Amino acid sequence: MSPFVELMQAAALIMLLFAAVLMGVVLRNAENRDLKVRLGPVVIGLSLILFAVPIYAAVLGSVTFDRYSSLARGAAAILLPVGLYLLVPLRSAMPGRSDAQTHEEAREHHDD
Amino acid sequence: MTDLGTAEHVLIALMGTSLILLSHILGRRGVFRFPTAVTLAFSGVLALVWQAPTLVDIPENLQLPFEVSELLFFAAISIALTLYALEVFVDQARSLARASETLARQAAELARAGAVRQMAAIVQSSNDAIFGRDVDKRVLNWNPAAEALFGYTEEEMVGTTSDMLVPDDLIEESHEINAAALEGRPTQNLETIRRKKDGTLVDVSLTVSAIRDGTGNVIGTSVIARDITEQKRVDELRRLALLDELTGLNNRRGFMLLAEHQATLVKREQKDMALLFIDLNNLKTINDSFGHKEGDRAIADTAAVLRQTFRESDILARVGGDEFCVLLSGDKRLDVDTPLGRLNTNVELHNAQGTRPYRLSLSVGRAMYDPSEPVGIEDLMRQADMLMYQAKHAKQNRPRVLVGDDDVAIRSDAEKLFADNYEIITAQNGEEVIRRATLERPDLILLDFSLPDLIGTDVARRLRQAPSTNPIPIIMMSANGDGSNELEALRSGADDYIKKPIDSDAVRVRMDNLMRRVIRR
Repeated sequence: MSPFVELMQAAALIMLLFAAVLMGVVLRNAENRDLKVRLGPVVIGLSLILFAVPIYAAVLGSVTFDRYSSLARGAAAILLPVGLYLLVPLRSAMPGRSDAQTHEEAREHHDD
Repeated sequence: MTDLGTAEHVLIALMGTSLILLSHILGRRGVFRFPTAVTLAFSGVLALVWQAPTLVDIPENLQLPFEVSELLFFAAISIALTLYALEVFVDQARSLARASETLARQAAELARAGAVRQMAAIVQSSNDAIFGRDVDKRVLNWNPAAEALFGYTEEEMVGTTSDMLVPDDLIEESHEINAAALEGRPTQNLETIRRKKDGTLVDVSLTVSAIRDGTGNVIGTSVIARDITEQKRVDELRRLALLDELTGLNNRRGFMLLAEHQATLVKREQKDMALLFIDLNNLKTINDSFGHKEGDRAIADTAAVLRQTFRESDILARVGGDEFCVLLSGDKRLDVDTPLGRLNTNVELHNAQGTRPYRLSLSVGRAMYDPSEPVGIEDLMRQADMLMYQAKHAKQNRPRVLVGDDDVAIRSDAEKLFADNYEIITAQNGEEVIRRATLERPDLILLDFSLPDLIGTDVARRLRQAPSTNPIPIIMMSANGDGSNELEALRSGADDYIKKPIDSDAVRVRMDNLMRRVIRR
């Protein structure tokens, strides 16, 4: 593997973890009681870890995770969109958002 | 890279498709919505690109290297998630700001409601009657003080017109006040009268102003009514304590208060001040002859003459039964002679009206206040009083001559010619001559032969018949030169006879001789 690709791989993984942590922090502060919304970041984080672990293992030269690699990626491929989908209610349940604003947003949705 | 199974490839491809679909759902609004949606959709496309060579046949030259497409997918999904997180963060911050704004607004509304409640509590607990009316004067609200003042309960008043509180003769005034308030001209502290429920009247101080709505339109009037009965009573007591009831002038206490204050001002500003002590002559005689009611009238007349004579700024007072004080102040070299001359003229004008059976006569003493050597008002009064008595005695020691003539020129000539040595009293008809001779007992009478009501000889006879006027020497004056009048005059009791036009020196000698003879007798 070329050094450039390896560098890119490392950068992508760092970004992936950064994104996972950021999502976690931001959504934790959202204080939204909706279970689905609270589960969303967990699922996304889990999917990102499932994606990242086999890659890390490969980068480090480990073969321990090779057997589970396909399973992990397949699970991650399912969990990532599910996690994102779970976050959809978050948009209409932010604190301080009045009904009128929600309606306004609904109208905006409709216009779009 | 790890070899992937078919299921894994399919799942990742499906994930890519899902991401493209989710990009539409998630990235709806916010600052980062468009970049998020694009990046998410792009990550979906990359996921498909990543898995495409394993699922479909793609020419070698169109394939992206496996590692590159995998990495691009991870980079894209990382960026998409980061952007999404940022969007959530920004949205959250904005929502928090909105929430804080809403809270601030609610707090302000609560504070406003609190202020309104507080104001309502103040109105409710006020000692002043406060009520609001619409433009038709129908009462909208009514506080407990209004209930206490007027006797009507809130239930009785709300919805009814407030005109029932206004006495019939003041309805017009009430309409005018209301109209002015509706036009934006408030009425402040107007002292007037209102009617209670039991029909009794109460003195109130009214303040009426417009009530406006949020847009500034007048929607009614507010009325604040204060019961001033007690205040009026106190004012009246104070007035009685400082004013003389008969004349309306200051009494001694009021005069002292004002004069002391004036003296302080004069001293500070180095101005001149004069105190006149004025005594109404013969008050005892008036009381004895015509009764005390007429004596009171004489005092009131004197007060009226003083008011007419002196300026508003001068302090006038009745300090005793027939004693008055006037405090004049002004610039340096205060002119006192002019007002004294005016006083004499006004007294004469009053006497000329002939509305009273006696003539007003005043004795005046004046004392000047020297700001460089200030003395107390009491001292000044004592000084003026002493001078007044001197003047009075000088006047009393002069022989008094009653001039009875219907010709005003003769009367005024006599006053001019003889005023230096004699006190001249005048009368314009026979009856007046008799009345004044009886009342004032002059030392000599200069009597015209022909008077409008009685001829001089009849007057002389009647004077001789009355014991009180019998000793008074009479000199008859006539323009007739044939001698018949002279004889008739002497027969009627006249002591001497002179012809007009009179020679003042000759008359003076004759008068002195006659009076000396009477005194000797």
